[in-house]
Amino acid sequence: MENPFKKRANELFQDDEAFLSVVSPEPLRFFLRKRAEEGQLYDRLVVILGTPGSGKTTLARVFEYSTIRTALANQSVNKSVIAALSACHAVEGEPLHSRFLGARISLESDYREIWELPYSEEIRTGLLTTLVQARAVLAWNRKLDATAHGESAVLPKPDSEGALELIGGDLEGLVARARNVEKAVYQVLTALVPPDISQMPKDAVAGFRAFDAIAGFAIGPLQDRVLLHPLIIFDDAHVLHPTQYSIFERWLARRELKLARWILSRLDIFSPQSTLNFLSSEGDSQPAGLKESREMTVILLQGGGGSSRQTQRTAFRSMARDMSSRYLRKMPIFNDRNLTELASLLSTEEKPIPKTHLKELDTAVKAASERLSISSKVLQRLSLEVDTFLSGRPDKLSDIRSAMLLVMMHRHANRIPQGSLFQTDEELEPTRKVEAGTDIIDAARIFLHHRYSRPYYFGFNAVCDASNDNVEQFLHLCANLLEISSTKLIRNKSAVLDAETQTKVLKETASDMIKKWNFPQHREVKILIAKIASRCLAESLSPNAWLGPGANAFGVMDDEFEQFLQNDSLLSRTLHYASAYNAVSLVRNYQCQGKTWCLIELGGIPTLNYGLTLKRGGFLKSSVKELDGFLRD
Amino acid sequence: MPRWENCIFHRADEAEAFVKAYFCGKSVAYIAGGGFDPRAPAFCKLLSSAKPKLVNAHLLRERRPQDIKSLLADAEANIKIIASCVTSVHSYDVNIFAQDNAVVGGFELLRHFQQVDLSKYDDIVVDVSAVSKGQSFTLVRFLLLKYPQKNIHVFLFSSTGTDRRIREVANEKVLPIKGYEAGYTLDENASTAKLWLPQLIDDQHDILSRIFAAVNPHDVCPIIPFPSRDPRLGDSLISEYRVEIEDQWQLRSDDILYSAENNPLDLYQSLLRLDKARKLVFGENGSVMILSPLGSKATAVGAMMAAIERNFPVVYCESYGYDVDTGVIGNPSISDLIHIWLSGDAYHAETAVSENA
Repeated sequence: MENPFKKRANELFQDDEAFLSVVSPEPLRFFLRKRAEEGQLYDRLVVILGTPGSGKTTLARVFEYSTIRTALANQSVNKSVIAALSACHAVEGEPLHSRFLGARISLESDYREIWELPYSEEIRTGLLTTLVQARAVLAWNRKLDATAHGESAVLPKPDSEGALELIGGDLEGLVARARNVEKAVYQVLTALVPPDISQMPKDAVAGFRAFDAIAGFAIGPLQDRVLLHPLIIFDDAHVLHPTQYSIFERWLARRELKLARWILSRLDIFSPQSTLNFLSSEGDSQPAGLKESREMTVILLQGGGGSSRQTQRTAFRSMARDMSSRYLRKMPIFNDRNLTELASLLSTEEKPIPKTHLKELDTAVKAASERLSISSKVLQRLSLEVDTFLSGRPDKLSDIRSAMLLVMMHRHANRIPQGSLFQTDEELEPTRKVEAGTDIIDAARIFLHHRYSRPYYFGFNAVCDASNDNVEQFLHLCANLLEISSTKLIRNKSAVLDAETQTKVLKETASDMIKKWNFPQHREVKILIAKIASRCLAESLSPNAWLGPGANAFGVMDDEFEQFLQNDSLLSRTLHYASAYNAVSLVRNYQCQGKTWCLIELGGIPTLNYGLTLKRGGFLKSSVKELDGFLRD
Repeated sequence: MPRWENCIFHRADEAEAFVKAYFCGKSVAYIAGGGFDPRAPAFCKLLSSAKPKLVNAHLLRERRPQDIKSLLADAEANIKIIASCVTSVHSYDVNIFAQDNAVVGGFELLRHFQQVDLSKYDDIVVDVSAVSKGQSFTLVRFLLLKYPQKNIHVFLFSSTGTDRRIREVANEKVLPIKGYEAGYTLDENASTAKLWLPQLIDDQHDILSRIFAAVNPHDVCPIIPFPSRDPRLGDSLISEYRVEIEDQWQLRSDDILYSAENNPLDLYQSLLRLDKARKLVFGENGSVMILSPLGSKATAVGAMMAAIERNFPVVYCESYGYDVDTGVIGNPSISDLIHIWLSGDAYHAETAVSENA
């Protein structure tokens, strides 16, 4: 079987049962449950935004009628997904059944082309809404057909019986009419020479107001009818023209529409200013024109949504654990050997650097102590500090110890005040005591990684953190790790990957992914992240490691960034696409040293590629001018 | 009978001889690419040597978001050469992408040519050597529709070596070429048996993967060039794509279509035969063949002809830009020249092309 980690779930697993076996219910609980409990998920327009690979389509597919039916048909196997659906109020009753007839339509084909036709905005909007409604009816019908409901009926809204008659009357008539309407609009938009308005097919211009007429669907025999509320999910809405998208969104947000309707979109659809504003908040603000209200719910996958970044990171790790287990169970080479926990395949055991390098390091420590005039008494004290800190820890290794000592000596030297010519070091105390801590051990690690190629990226949490809470990124990183692991199994070796192999594979994968970037402005994004990474690395490797584990971000004064957002520029467009495609993350209102910053944090993949820390918070002070200069050089 | 059963087709020296003999004294609308490709001015020079009465050039300058300055300079140089060979030059900027990165090149191209009257010319020559497939396919279909009785010729310098040195940086969106939608996204065709025929060229794994995911075919039949100038090309392609062939597409050894690299008619005829065979099994509307002409331009022309005749959808990823290895691109040679006479005096007067997708 093809490695499932290499494909998106909804592409690889066409079959609903196979799909359900790999889908994790965690995103439903994390992103949708609260909204469902607050009644904000089904009675108004819901806009779900996310970067590529954040799981939008997978999430939508779970809510499709056929998927829910399949899940309910085997409740013992799909317990966790059903529980999540129940928590999201998508299933109800005894026995459990779906509340909704959910269907997904991708807006990738045909709709954007309508905007290029030589007609007025009104006519183009009419063609768009007509086509969308026709296809929604056809999508619902396909779901009903696929689940072999012999007796199904469409229910009109109260006082809309006449409107339903006009568009077909019963379900069969409605579907036939929808097919004709779809074909008619399609003829117009695919014509090499668009017809005059007077020559347009009648079905294309007469309108097809299914959303205004339909209240729901009834399925099953008369004595045992189940009512299904319509849910339509419009995927890939970012493909629409921005004006087209705004019109579409406004049209769907109308309060008189009673069906459940969701839009899934990337952030590209919004202006750079809007996107940057939105992405850089903790979910408080939305893109201009996209205001959360009684008419609209906005949900941001992968960041924002009102949760702290740490909470999201924790939630993602949980989801990743669940998802990776499901995927491993699909790989016989692992499943047959009961190797279904990814964490167990990624060793966190550390080994010190080779003896020759260790000797070199110890020599460097000695040389530093002489150069910095560290007395033997101070050195002893610092060594005791390190030993006490490392006592009982699994990473109590000689190379870490020496590297920590090196950092602490530099810190000590920096903190010694200027004394008189006749004073010795022993008489001077540092302005602040140098203490061993996690920041120093992190600093030691990154130093050893760059100086002696000591493994740096290993363990399940590292893979999760490098994924930027993005499912696709996580799967991509895992795919290459598991290729190696499976090869080892074939050769009758242990499947567990050591730290060195993990570091090598993760870095190579990241490098390869960056090479393959081809989104808009990718060249400028590569230049920008290379420059940021270069400076961050230089500071991360400073002898006194003043940033602890190091930096992986630039910080710009928040009010300066706010000003910058008002104007269109090469930098704003570059940051727009950089953040929309996970090359960077923006963190507004970051408090540090009594000031408020906007952090431009490198994404997980660039971080891996350039060998920077995956820990958050370390940044270098910068300015819009400096960032702009990177692109102009 | 297939429309181009008795197609007038010339190659290499025969093509050169045809040009010199046929175009003498003719008035010609010459449509070509005004881009960086070194093949851009090559045919024009040959055409002018035939001493036609009049050659008015309509040059398409395809604009992409990641146009490289050095390539723009090469394009200017090519336009100058073309201008020196023809009576007049009209240049049209064709923005392939809109501001929001939607692919709109086909629409822009059609907007230009709807306003141009080519009926006064004896012949319309479309030189696709330096025109991307996304534009040339649309253009040819439009011309056949608008001027059904006119002499319409397609010329190209087909050099797979050059094609492989001009690498497309593909946009991620998979879509049909304008004019070749053929209804494959319509609901009435949702349950038809889909056969996808990608033309293979090296190092296009990502694009093939994207198109495969978007098309979601029931079967795949890759097109591999054979015979080809490089006799081992077919083997190396099969080797390169073995993961796709074995795992993703799950093919057997006889699920591959071999097509002569420099003879468009070979692929054209093969596709028509395949379509006929499938109709016997699936009925008139039970099957759809979806083409993806990623490979050489010569075989792409064959795919185009089959798509026009039988209304096949043609699906691709538009290029966002190009990575060009200009250092090793040689000048085009007459041995690479191909001519196909698509419509006009050489064919039956009632032949017409259907516009309907």
